[in-house]
Amino acid sequence: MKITTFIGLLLILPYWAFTQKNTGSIKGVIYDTVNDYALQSASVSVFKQADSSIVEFQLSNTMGEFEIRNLPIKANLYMVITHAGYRTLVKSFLLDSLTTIHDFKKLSMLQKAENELEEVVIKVIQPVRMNGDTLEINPEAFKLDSGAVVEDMLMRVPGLTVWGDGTITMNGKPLDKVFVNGKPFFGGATQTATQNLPKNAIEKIQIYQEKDYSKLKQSDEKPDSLYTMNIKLKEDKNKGIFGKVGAGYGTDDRYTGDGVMQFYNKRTQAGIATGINNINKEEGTGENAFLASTFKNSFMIFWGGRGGASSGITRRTYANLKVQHSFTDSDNSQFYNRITNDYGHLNTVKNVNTHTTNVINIDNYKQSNITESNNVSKNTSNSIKLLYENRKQYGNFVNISANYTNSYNTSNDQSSTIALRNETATSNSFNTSSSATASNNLNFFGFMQSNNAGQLKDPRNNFMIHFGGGYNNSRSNSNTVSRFVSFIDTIPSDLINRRYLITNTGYNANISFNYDGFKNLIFGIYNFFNIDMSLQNELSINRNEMNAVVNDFDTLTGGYMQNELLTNKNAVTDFNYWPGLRLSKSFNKSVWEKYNYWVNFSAELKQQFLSQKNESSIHFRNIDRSFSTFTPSVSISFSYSKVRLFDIRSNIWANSGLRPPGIDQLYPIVDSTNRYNITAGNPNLKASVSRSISWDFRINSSKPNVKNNYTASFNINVNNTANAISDNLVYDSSGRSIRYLINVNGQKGGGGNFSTRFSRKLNKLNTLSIDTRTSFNTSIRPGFINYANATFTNNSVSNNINATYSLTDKFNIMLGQTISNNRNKQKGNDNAASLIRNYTTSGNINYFATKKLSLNTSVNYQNNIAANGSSVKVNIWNANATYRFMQQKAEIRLSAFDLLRQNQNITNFVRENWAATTITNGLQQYYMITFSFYPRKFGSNRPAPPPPPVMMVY
Amino acid sequence: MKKLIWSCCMVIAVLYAPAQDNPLYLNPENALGAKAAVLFSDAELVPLETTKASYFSNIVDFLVTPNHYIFLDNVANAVFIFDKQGRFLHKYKKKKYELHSIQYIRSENAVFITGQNKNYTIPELKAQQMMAKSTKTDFTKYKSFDLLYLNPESRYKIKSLHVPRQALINAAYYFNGSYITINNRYNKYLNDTVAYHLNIVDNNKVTRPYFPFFNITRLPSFYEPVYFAIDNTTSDTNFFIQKQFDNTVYKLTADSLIAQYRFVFPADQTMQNDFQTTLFKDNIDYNTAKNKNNKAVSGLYNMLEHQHYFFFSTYALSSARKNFIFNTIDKKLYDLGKVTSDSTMLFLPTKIFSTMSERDADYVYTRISAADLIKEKEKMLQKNQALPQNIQQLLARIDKFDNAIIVKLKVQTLTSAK
Repeated sequence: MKITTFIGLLLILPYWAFTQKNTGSIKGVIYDTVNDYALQSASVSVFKQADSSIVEFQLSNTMGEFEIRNLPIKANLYMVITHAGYRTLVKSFLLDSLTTIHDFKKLSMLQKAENELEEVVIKVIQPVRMNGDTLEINPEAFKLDSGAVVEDMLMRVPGLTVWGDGTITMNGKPLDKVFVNGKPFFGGATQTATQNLPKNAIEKIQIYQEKDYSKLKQSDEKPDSLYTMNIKLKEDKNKGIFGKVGAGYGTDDRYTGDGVMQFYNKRTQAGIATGINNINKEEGTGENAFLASTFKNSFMIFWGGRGGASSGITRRTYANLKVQHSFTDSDNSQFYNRITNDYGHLNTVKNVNTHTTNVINIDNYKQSNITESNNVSKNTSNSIKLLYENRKQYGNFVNISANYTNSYNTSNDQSSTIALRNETATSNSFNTSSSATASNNLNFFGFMQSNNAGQLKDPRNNFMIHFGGGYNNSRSNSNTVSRFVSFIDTIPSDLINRRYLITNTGYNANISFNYDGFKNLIFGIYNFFNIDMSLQNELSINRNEMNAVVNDFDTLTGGYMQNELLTNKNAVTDFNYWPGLRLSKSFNKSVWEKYNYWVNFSAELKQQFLSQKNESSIHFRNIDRSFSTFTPSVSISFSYSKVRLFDIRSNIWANSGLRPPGIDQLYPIVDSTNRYNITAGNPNLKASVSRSISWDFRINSSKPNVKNNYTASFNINVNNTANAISDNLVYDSSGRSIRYLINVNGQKGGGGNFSTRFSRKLNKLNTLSIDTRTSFNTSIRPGFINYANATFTNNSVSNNINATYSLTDKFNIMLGQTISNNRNKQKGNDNAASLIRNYTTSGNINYFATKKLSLNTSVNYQNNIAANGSSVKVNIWNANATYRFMQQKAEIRLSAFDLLRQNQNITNFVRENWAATTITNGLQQYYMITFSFYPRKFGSNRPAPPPPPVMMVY
Repeated sequence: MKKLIWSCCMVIAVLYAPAQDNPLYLNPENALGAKAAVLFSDAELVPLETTKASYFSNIVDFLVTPNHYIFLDNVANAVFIFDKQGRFLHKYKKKKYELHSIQYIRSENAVFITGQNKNYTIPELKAQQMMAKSTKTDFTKYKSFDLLYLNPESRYKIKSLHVPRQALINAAYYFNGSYITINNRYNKYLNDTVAYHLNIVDNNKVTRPYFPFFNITRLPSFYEPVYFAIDNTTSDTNFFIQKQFDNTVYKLTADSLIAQYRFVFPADQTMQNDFQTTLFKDNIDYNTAKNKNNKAVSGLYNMLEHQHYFFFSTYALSSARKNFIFNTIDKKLYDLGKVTSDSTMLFLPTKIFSTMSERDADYVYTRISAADLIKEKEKMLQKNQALPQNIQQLLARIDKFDNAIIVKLKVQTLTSAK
């Protein structure tokens, strides 16, 4: 309730604040007095005399009239009117509280004489203009300080909204791709470009709809409705270097350090990022460090939040290298020939203490398993990624990527579990294990497409190929010591000391070939009722080899003896083949300047053939199986645009798939160190067939240059599985469970989400935005407990609302509320139900006291209510103060984490017949001071050419 | 190689381009503005009858004949015929065919309608092959050429015409009993190195070719079609023709091609001379070269000669469109985007100039949608002191779903600005 009131106040505050402010306006008619006619589309711009910063701008209407409102009073202003072929007209004026409206009446413009040179050059630039189908933003028109970056300017452009998560929308539609000179900038993330590149390095920003001509030619599909932004750099700024070096140290021996350097020129981009921290900072490290170390990152409009919420305490050390090279100078984003190479090194050391309480409903009693565990893991990995992309024609693509990762992981675990039947202890177990695993993974993926796309090619040669392959290998050496003590069994104690040496090797290859020229091959130039046909073939082969050598400690001999039950060799080879035919038909209607719609129906008729070969040193696991089933899918896509009003997009699709049981479900090898959960296989299991249907819907406003923008979307999905693999859980008196796998029918589920986004530009610098998201999921899972029917129904609902008010460069506040609950109901056990709830209220305030000093505070209040009704309330309050100096290139930040010392990581789960609460250790209160330096240099050392002479006329 | 091709082109251009008038140096960006009264003396509105049968939604072509207004609507896929008072007379559809273009044939008092069989899609490469290699002589199975007679006694009789192979690609025009066909791309099935963009075709044979080009790969015509704008004049045997990036308006007559208006625009609005003869390494280089010149005027369209005015619109590579009037007497160029509405135009919005493409002896014609007219209704009533009775009645009864309203504009007979 409190939060609702607060959000209500937040909504009212901006209106109240701005009705108190006095503003004035000017108007007039622009005229060619010599020829006696009004001048339409003349550019009228109002500037402040003090700093020549632009206040407002407008084009005169078809009658030559203009009226500019929201002008400051008691400020010396001047107005500049320009029109092609006319001498520039400049008028100065002052509005005061008595004269808030100034009418210039008829303003005469004089035509320039033939070949007349401008004796007086007035530098007046239109901030935004349409150049054909492209919206062009001119940075020169926005007077910002020298440290301003592209994002600072975008926040001042009408129709554009910069959201809290960095997303940028244009009249409600997201800017899907951001390019710099037609190329992705260090991976293509929006913020890397908009928060690093200085406004002064930009010649112009172009926003346009990228039309995919290949689609247009193929099936009259509408052009991609998402917008693309291209940042065009000034010719002398086509190369630059920028980055960040930072280090911080705090109480409780907390530290962080990072360094990023990025370089670009016309064809090549290269960046290196490295860092170390023990503050659980995972976001913005490694490859994402380029994204999180932008020049304006700490001054970006919203940041903060809970922070450090992950389990345990992790020290993370990373080093990454990224190189992108284009083999052409092309600045056309649709055509490219480039290679991208990434190298990454990551080392983590993680220490997690966990306390878990798991309450299981069984027949007429409750079993509780309480576990205390500690895990220390160390991981070192090195990875290399290569990506080659080539598109020289509209419909011809070649994309090839390859990844190689090498990792080495060690882990030490200690845990103890006690099982209670109602309140009585029945057993406990103590486990200690250590492992060391080395692995290598190599994967490659390729995509090639060729279609005629308006080029002079034979459509019978149209095809699309996806192919991939991989090799992975791991070798794991581990040791487990497990003691089980039953207070009920006749044999009360059992100690296992076991060593494992497990080698896994996997190979996979897959290829899918779509022959899109099939229709032309069969029917030639006949259209076949305008139904498109594509022949589809997909093939995959997977082979996994496993060699496990298991030895048990023999107390009699004092040495390790091979465990014949667990030592085994196993190889599984899966061969999948899906031949199919895809049929699709589109309908569209387009009325110029009114509306257009497009509907596509498509159906894929596919048969799945699966052959599986299991080879094992254990006799009963040597089985070969084959499956074949019809797995069709259908989809309907719909788009409707009402010009300059709204756009709708919707998709409905349904598909089915076959999933056979694995060998470990048919004939599992049971390891007795797994004390409480034992799986018993079922060789009679059948393959399950799942069917699902989904519906997506999205609507957004497309009114240009309006204050309000909205987007709403929802998704609903339903699925049903025949012959689903479920289980009969049988519990013994010591609390151990044996899971007997069985096939069941009636396993079904459904879910959906609904989200809205609304923003209102209160005036040029004030924005209010509200976004909401509701999601729900339900699943019904039939099964058995101790041979009695027990169908579990799980329902979860989550509601989230965030409201943000932003006064650009000054202040912003974000308030959010999330309410989620998860209810699990067990049929057959007196309809026992478990309910967990989570209430999260978050608030985040940024205050930019000056251009150098920003203050941030965030509060996160959580109330976790477990299945037993116990409530844990946690308040996490963080605060930061950031000061920039040396032309904003240096930064000192004071951070305080968890000022109230309440941080706990609590997670509640409910599933089937159990409800669990997990509490892990995490970061505790600390204070930190961080120093960062942002080296930046754009362009060459040569001085820029002198600006044209500027003279003001009053 | 580039120089060689350029030199050859120059030679060919000299051989085929007839004598030209003096060049007209004009800067479209600095074109004049004016009050509408400087250019027009009178405007009339003619509403078109709206019934279930006559309702159209997306006009792609509009013709004015001595007695009719004729529209091609690509949503209804039909030709609508109205009389000069706006009464609906006839609707023409062709089963299985998608109608593409309409052209008025004065000598026959008929409309030449082209269409394409919806059951067939002929890929460009296949069409080129059929054009060069097929032994067939008639292609009416795939395309249709029909004459729709307008004489009252003919009762809108249809006469199907023979479709020559050259018409398989792109638009074709009826020309004095023959056809004008366009061949706008590289064709690998042609044996000759030199091909012609524009051909006069009679009985499947090219009788006169114009606009030669090198039929070799890596030239612009290999990557994209070279566009031509072709507009009727008042005569069936005279056409205005403009080739992409060539700012000359040619007049094709029964026996020759002459340069009617040779416009020279500033360098930044003109595609570089060597563009058409540059051998590009690949599509990326080709597009880079195009993007560097995106202010260049790509083509002229809506070309219309009426009394001493030449109306035309320009289309730049950046997709910017502008509409102009060139006064052939005082050589002044007016930008219709800078012309302001006044009482001579009934204070109608100046966007109507973007669809001005037709004329008859007395008027030039454009149109306004009912929805746009309703938007201007208040302003028209407020600013026009004495609106004619019929227009007042029209404004009172018009509905936003009504058919478009024809606007007849009478041009000023004076040659200089007021």
